[in-house]
Parts: sequence; C-alpha cells; structure tokens
Amino acid sequence: MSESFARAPVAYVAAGDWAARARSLKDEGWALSDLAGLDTISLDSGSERFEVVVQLFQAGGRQRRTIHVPAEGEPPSLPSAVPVWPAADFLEREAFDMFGIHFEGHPNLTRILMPEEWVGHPLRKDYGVGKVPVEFIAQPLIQIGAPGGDPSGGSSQSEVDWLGQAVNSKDDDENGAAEHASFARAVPESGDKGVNQ
Amino acid sequence: MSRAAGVVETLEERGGGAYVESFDETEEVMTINMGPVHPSTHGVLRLVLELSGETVLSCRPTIGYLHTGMEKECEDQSWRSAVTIVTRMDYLAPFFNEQAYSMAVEQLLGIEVPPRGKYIRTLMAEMNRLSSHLVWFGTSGLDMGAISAVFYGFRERELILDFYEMVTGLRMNHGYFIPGGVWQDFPEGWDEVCRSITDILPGRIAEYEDLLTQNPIWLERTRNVGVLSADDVIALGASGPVARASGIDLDLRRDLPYEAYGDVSFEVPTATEGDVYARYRVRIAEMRESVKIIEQLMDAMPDGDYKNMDPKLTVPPRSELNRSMEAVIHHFKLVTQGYSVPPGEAYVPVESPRGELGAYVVSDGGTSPYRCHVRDPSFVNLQTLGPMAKGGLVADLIAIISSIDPVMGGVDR
Repeated sequence: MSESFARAPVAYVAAGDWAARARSLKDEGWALSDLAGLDTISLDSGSERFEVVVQLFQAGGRQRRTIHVPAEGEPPSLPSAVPVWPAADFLEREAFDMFGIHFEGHPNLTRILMPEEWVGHPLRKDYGVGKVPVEFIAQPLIQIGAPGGDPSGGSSQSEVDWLGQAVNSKDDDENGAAEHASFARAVPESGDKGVNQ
Repeated sequence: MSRAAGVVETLEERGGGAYVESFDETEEVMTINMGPVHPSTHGVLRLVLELSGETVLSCRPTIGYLHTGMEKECEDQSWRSAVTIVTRMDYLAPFFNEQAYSMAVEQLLGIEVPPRGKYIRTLMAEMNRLSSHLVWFGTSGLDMGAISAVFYGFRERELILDFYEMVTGLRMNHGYFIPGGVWQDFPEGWDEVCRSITDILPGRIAEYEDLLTQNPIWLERTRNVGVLSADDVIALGASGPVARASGIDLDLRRDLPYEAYGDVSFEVPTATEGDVYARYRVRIAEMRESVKIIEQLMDAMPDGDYKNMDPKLTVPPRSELNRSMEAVIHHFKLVTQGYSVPPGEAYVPVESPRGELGAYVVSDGGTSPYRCHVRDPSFVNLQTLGPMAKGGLVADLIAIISSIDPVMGGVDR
C-alpha cells in the first residue's frame, strides 16, 4: 500500500473515560469521520463483546486515527459523542439499531434503518440470517403442509418446514400460519379453505 | 367518483405522496409528510416537516425504506464476491464503493495493485464522478423547473454508461474492481471511446453553464438558500462538495493521494458562500477537473498487469487450466472457498462524488469479511438537511435536497 494509507494508529479508550477523552480530542482539533459498531464475539479481543469503532481526522484531512471504545454492561452502553461531535447522531443511531449498543446522553436514540417495532439487532453475530420470518405480511399467500390439505401429500404431516423450524400444528390457523408461511414457495391446493381466503 | 356532497376528499385518500397528518388550528403549526414517494426527494426519503404557513419550522429525515442489510450480506460472501454487494450501495457511484472496499481488503492482505490497475481504477472512478454529477445536474434542474437540464445531463451520461458497458459489461453495479486490481483489462479501442467523451464534455459543460449559471430564475432559487457555515460543516460531519462549497478545503484525492491521483495535477474547486448556488458551482467545476484528470490518465496509461497476479488471490487465465495442474488446484480453491485474509481491521476512505466514502473492514482470518461497514457520505451529509431547511420555505427545501445530492441506496444500505 502507498504510504498515505499506512494503517491509522489504533487506541482503546474505556467507556468510562470516553466522554472526557472525546472532548479533549476535539480540543486537539480532531473531527469525527465515522462511527461503527462491532460485535467481537468470535474475535478473541479479550474485552467486552461490543465495541464502537470511531474514525477521526484532523483538519487538513491527512492525519487519521482509530479509537475503539468497548461498550460495557447489559445492555452494552457507553457515553454518547453527540454533545462533542453532532455528526455522531445518525451513526450512533445506526450502531444502536444494528447492535443494540446504548449511547447514554444521545438526544434521540431510536432505530434509524429498521422499523421502530423491530425485535432484535440484525448485525449481531447471533442474529440468524434466513431464519427470520418476513415481517409485514398481512396474511399467508402460500404455505407448505397446510392442515387439512391433501391427505396423500406427505408434507402436510411434516413437523418441520424446509428451514428446519418446528411447525406447531395447533398454531397453524390464520394467525399462526403467517409466521411460518413467509418463506414457503408452494402453490396452495385448490381445496384448502384454511389458507386461501 | 360518486362522493356524497360535503364529504371532503383528503389528500391521503387521493393517494398522493404528501398528505396532511395533523393540523392544530390554535397553534397554526402543520405537520406534513413529504415522501417517502415524492419526485423531489431523490429516492425513498421521508421528511417530517413542521410548517407555519410556507415556512419550515423543523425538518426531520426518516430513512430506512431502502434498507436491505447489505453489510450483513457481505459477511456471508467471500472476500472477492462481497464486491458485488458493496457496489449496490451508492448506485450512482458504484465504482467508489468497490474502490474503498477493495483498497481496505488490499491493506489487510498487504498487497500492491500494479500501476495499470491503479490507473484503470482511477480513470473509471473519475468517469463515475462525471456520470454521477450529470445525474445531479439533471435532477436538480428538474426539481427547480429547469426541465431541459435533465435531458442534457442524461444525454451525456449515456455516453459514459456506454463506456462502462464496453469495459465492464454492465451499465451499473459493475463489480469491476476487485481486491488486487480490476477483473479484466480495458478492451480494444477503449482509448478512442474515452477520447470522444473527453472531447465532447467540456463543450457540453459550457452549454450547461449557459443554461443555468446566469439564469435569473436559477439564481433566485439557489442564491442564499440553504446556507451552511464552515463550522456547521465540521460539526455535522459533512464532506465532499457540500463541505467544499462552505469553504472547507478537504479532498481526499489531494490530501491522501491514493491510487493514481499522486501522478495527476488537478485543482480542488471551493467556494465560500455555502449556499445551493455555491454547491452548484463547485460541482460544475469538479466535472471540468475530472475531464482533465481522465485526459492525463489516458496519456500516461502504463502497460503491464491490470491486477495482482498472485495465484493465491486471482483465478488463473482459462488457457492455463488445460495445461497446468497447479492452475486447476488454484482455480478450484478460489472458486469453492476463496482466499483468507489475515486478521485485522482497516478503514480506507475515498473521495466519492458525494464526499468521504469509507470502508471499515474487519477480518477474523477467514474467507469472508467479519464486518464490512461502509461510511456512506449521503448518510452523514443528510444530517445537514434539518439545519439547512430550518427557517426557509418549502420550495427552498426542494433545492436544498438536490444540492446535498443524497442517494438513498447509500443512505439505507
């Protein structure tokens, strides 16, 4: 790599010191460029599970540095940088939305990219991909193994759907079916009154 | 059709994009939704406006309508194929997404890009700056009633998209830059096509200026509208033309000369007024500079490899597979598994048409990114919208949005 992109120096700052450290960095002329959450669950970092990675630059844009701030406690939290750098507003909301990291003192810590009623934080490493039913589906359009379907069809008796998730047959009414049917791709049977409303 | 007399049809029932949410007659403050489906919000941007008459009291952007979890998707891709995800983020500037990501991975791998690869990437990036600014020119003209601008802007953009198609096979979402270079060399005859574009554009840019720069209506709509001071720019983290139009002289191409920018000479246009008109002038001047950079790169285009030819990182040429056992093994390993990247983290910013586009990439030593965060300039620059719109008119808000030039694919990722 060219010399200009030699890796920026990395420093760790404890969550308790972050508010004071941010203020002194700002007084030294550092401005905030980026702030991102990081789930270090399988990185052997030896510190807290969640970290916030802050990229700073100095006026002129040549000097850059990276600061890691581990988020402590449950829920993981650290002081907000918004009072120091208002630019952190959207970026901290994104880290909260995606990782569930709480920024104490943020004026408006709400979800920014996901819907407000969303459950879970998608960029956490234990948030599965492909195992979450699609939200906002008014009613199941299509379903595999519907109750009362064709008795000759083996799949209608199946206990699990194709994702390996257990299907509780008691819940397979109009309400419960919505949770399981979102990934299904089969065309409903013509005589299937329970689904095809 | 057959409405009972006296029943007022609300805007919402008519299916308009903007509808009245609540109206308190005592305070005379009206809360209005602009968007998410509104022609002048440049994508699915929703603005919650508080109005007193025509004056904007507050403007709160609500985003996320285009969120598709691209950063999460990257974690399931190989290092090579994550390029195809990041290129879809800021869809008007796809090469810059690829460039930032590829440079971050190169930094983690500790590999060099051959000179020809660097020149090709820089040339394509500058072409992309032109095509992105042409869309900005067309759409912001359209927003403010200068309908011809959109025809002119898209006419020239088409020339550049044809060049992209010639080089990468695609008009957008190219996946052309890969860690180590570009995945294929420029085709035969690229320089003639490229030269025809750089010959045409300066005259066309002068035409755009004839159309708008001294146009009294344009001046009325843009001057002293959406003024952002230099202090506000630094506080809100704005970058790119938005910052340079407020007197913040920051340009990563000059400050941290990456790729081939160290070998070319160019000016960084700035202005001090910080209004919509200043941003217009900065972007127009940037287009002229991009043409100059492309001409210099074409003249100095080196020969040689266009990508890092390390067999552990790049698939061997097809002809090798019939002759060499090693080539077959390397091909099999790279296609089925991909290469692994040493553990570490890298943040690499590049100067996209909208500002600092940074890729923060973390590796745990595996064959796919552990974390791939993109600092999109549209996302951060959008924070300036509220302060700029406050106290202005709704019609000014339209001008301000198009002067930020946000791309919602990049904002929501």
